[in-house]
Amino acid sequence: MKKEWVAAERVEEVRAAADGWKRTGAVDKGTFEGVLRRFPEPRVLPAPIFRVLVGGFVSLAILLLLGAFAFAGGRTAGAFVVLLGVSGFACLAAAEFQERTPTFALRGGAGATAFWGIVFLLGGLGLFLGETLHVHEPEGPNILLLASLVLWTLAAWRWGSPAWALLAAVSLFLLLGRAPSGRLLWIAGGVALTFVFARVLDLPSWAPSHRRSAAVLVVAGLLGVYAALNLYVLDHRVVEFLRDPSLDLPGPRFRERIWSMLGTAILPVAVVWWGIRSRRSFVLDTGLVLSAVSLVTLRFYVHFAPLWMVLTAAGGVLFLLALALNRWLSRGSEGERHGFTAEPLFADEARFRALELVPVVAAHAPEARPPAPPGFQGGGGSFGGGGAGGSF
Amino acid sequence: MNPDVAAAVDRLGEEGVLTPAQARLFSRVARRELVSARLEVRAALYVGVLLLTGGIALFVKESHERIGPAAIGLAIGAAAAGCLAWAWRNSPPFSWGDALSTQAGFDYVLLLGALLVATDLAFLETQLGLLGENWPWHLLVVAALYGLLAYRFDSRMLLSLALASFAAWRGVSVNLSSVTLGTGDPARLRVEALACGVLFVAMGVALRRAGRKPHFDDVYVNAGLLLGFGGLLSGVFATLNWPTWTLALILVAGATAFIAFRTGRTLPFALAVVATWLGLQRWIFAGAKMDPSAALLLSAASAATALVFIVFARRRMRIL
Repeated sequence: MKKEWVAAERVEEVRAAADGWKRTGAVDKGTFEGVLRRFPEPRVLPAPIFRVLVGGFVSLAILLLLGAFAFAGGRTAGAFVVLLGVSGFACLAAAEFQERTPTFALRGGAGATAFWGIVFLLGGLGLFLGETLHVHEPEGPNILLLASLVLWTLAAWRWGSPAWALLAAVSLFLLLGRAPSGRLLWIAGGVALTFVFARVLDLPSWAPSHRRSAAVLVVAGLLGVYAALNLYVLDHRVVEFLRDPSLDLPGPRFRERIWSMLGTAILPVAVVWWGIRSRRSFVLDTGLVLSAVSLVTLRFYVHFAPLWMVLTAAGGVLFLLALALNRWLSRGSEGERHGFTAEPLFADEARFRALELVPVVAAHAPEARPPAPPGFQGGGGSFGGGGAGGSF
Repeated sequence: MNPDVAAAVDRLGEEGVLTPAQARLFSRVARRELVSARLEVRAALYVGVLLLTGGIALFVKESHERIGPAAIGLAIGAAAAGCLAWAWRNSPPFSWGDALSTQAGFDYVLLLGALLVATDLAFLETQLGLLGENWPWHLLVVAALYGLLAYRFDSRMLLSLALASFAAWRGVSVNLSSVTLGTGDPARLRVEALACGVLFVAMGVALRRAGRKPHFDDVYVNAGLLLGFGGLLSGVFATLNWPTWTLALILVAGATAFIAFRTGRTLPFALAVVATWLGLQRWIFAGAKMDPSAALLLSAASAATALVFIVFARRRMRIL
């Protein structure tokens, strides 16, 4: 990343924090303006919806243009390779230009062009390997995954987007999964990612976006280790499937399963413990998600109660635990315990509530009434009003 | 830890921009000495509601013949009453303005109570057939119930569900993942969607002007625009008379974009731009159907034009 981009990001971090202070009434208007005067806006940051719109329309324009050229040009593999290669480099050049120009940076366009640039290059490379050089399994996909790892890593390093870091991590795990000891390599790779990037999470010399990328890599590392250890993944040979779907492997050995059971049970607890100890929300959240996955895995193997009872009990316990945690934190000295509080602090709760509407409506809105067939005699509709869904 | 914010807070404290108390609090948060668990608590409560309602629905489905409708109806009703009574006791008094409860669990206890009442109503209607062939009217009852609770407890979540239930009563599906308006006669559904859209937008505007929960108007307006544009796009893509529908879409979207631009509303503006672009694709692909390359090129040009329009509008738009 260029020095001026890093400097701009640091100022944007402070301005975003000040926005939170102002929104929650922790500072008055005069103080807020004093902060903004000392940290003037280096680049205009449009509203999120504009960034999504710009990113979406840039993607549409790029894909439609590529489609037009693909239809107009020769239909040979070689022609497609050239088209994808040229488009890929053009998109990457456009991404670099936008990032370098403050009036174009952070508009959603730079991210879209960077993403499609890399996708096109990888597509072109895949076609070149398969159709021109006739490099097939296992070398072809391995080279492609290696290229994917390199390109997304370079993009994350250059433009600092956590999304590119995530795609690099996915490429890494897919590549490791294709090795003969893929499962062990997932564990080793996951542990290495977690430990290496956990050390730089608070490093002041790193750009804010690089620190966020490091957080993504820590989560990816934890997920990789957990996926390698999970009993369901082991029994279904999911990691080995990446190497060769046609492999007819024997089931896991007893000792492997014991280790896997221990890992499925212990790792989530260890991650939650780490999250609490370090007071890192994203680690804590990862641990909670892994705990939920482990409970689902347990239910898959052990049918200790009917599904409705498990769901109702789990929901009830989770609900009551969350209320109890909230109450316990609120009743601590100055509303906090061990550095945790139930207060939102400076988070934008209004935005969270607005975003919450989409999943709530998606999950609970009743199904539209069906058209009445001719001669319909009634006798009750389908159970599902009020969001329960499904027919009954 | 956020070292950039921590360093800035130290500087602002030294320069006297922040008071010592402010600097101490902000510094603790930036250095991760104080962390909020609010998001985790809310997420756990929401997942808890999802699991509970899913489990109860499954129980009712599997056991209604064994236990009997009266016992199930009473049990769900009692649980719903418990939730709503708790919400009543812990809510601020009714107000036509903002009256949000500060309790983290409030929204979810209320949601659970409302969903249980709706489930109970649907179950009893299914079992007892109270409304006979008019059974879809129970969706209107559910919509009214959600609406009442939304106003009493100042809940946008329940207002969204009220509007979705009302649309469902009219046979229109509010499902963003679906490309259809629902099942049945498309022409009737189009009219229903447009009517619901106009009604919701009109209600949003009227209630805001009357000062009755004016902060609810974005829920009404956005839901109305989604349904309205959905109805118009259905006319563009699924009728022989598509040029007229496209013209209507462009006029409505143009008016929406203009008003949204003037009032600084980003989501209605975005909906109008996306709907217009989608509508124009019918024209482009119908006009150049013999040459896919030309159609794609024109379509790319339309996306680029939309992009220029968005960038131009954003520079001049006063966002709320």
